[in-house]
Amino acid sequence: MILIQFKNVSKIYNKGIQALTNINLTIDKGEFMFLVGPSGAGKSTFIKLLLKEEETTEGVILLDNEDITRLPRRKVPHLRRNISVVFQDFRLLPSKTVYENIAFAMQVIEASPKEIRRQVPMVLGMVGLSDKAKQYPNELSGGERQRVSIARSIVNNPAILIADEPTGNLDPETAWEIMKVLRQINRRGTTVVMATHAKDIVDTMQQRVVALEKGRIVRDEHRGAYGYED
Amino acid sequence: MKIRTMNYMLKQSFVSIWRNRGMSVASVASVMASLTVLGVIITIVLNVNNLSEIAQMQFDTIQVFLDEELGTSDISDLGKKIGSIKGVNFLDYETKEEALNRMKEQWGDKGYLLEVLEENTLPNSYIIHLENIEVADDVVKNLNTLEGIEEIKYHKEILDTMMGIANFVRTIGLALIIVLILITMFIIANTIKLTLNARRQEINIMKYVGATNWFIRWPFFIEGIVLGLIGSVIALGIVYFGYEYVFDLISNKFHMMLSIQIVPVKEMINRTLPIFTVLGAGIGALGSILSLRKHLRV
Repeated sequence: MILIQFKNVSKIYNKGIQALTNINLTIDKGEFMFLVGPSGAGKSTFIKLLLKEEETTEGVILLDNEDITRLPRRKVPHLRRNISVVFQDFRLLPSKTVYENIAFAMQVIEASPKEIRRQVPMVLGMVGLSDKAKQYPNELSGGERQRVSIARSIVNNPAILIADEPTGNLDPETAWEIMKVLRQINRRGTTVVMATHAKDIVDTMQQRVVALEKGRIVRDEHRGAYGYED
Repeated sequence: MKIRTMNYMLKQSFVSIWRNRGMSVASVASVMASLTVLGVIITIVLNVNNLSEIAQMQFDTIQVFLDEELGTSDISDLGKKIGSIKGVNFLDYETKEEALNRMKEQWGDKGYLLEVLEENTLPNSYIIHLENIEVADDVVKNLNTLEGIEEIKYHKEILDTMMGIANFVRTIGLALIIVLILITMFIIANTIKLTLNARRQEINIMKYVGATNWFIRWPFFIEGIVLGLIGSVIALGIVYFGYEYVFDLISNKFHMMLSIQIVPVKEMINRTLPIFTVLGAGIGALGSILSLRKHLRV
């Protein structure tokens, strides 16, 4: 079942830079997809279009058969509750504990305290940080911080999790911990789109790989490999 | 909006006010200064208006002093002519004796001083009651064409001067207020900007987890309004106590009669309270909108 569909999508920035050219792509529900390609190939733009941080210049993007390119600005927040994102730099609030950081994501969408008390421990368990709930981000390792960030991104049960180089700041061993968590989340039914430069991970995971170069899709393989020599 | 959300937002606003307390104090002081000036201007304008209303009631008469040589029949002829001028309501005739008595009354316990006058040099006069004050100029023009009138005394000049002062105060006041309000808004916008910067990371996260735009904006909005309201309450206090002080000073040290013509403290506060509250909150709200539009793309 198709979850996301890009139809002839192009993006030209105001300065005249052509970031994406005629992208056609479908992502199925429950899929795990790697987005690879050299820096400047258009991976970030691809993600920004999905999050509606940027608007497409041409073409449409469908999410669950709904055209999100025509979504009015005031509906964007609701879109983002369905498309969640994890960044390379974690983006945790230093003044809040692990628990509070995750609960914050629920508070701002006005979830009830009851739901918060139920959901937060559950996702903490999923990422294996139940015993760190009361600690502050600066007391955690990089891998643990990223796991908190992932827990926060799935606490509102999004349909899609976008991971923008989630292992970029981590050593290989820790990166694998993160991949295990992402794989587990994917197995529970969440679609995962991960932009990455990590060759080992892509090669080992044997998932779908979409390669971008100069704004075009140059490769789209199921059970693919990274395909670049770093 | 849910109550816990409201609590959250109020808390955020007050935390921000406290965190940037330097700028918060500056904002409050600036609202306070603007509104205090506004208060002073309102005080003056209301009092001048009040005075000119009283004056209009008292001064809608023209007194014409008659020639000494005029005989009784001449006087009554003149009276008829004056009575037929357009805009004249009715006339009172005041003899020189009546004028002297009135003067004695006005002088009160010093009236005996007038006893020493050997001859009453006061003239006979007609007191002309006008239909309204606007016709005064035309009536005077007509009076000037009549014979037997020595002097025309009327209070249009006083009224004109008073209206002029009132208008002047209003215009200058308005200009001053607009400038002050703009400065105040700018200062509040700056305070909000500091809060925005301090919370940039938090806002960024809120955006990515799908907080609605108004959820993000409200705390800043509340912050602006709270700063504006605190400033307006202080300004109201200053105007209240300041006006009360001046009012007491005038009625005690000068004359009871004078204080009757001043707008009472209570009425003054009743009039300024709504203006101050609305303006204080409004300046604060506008200041935050200014800042949010410029610095917060939600």
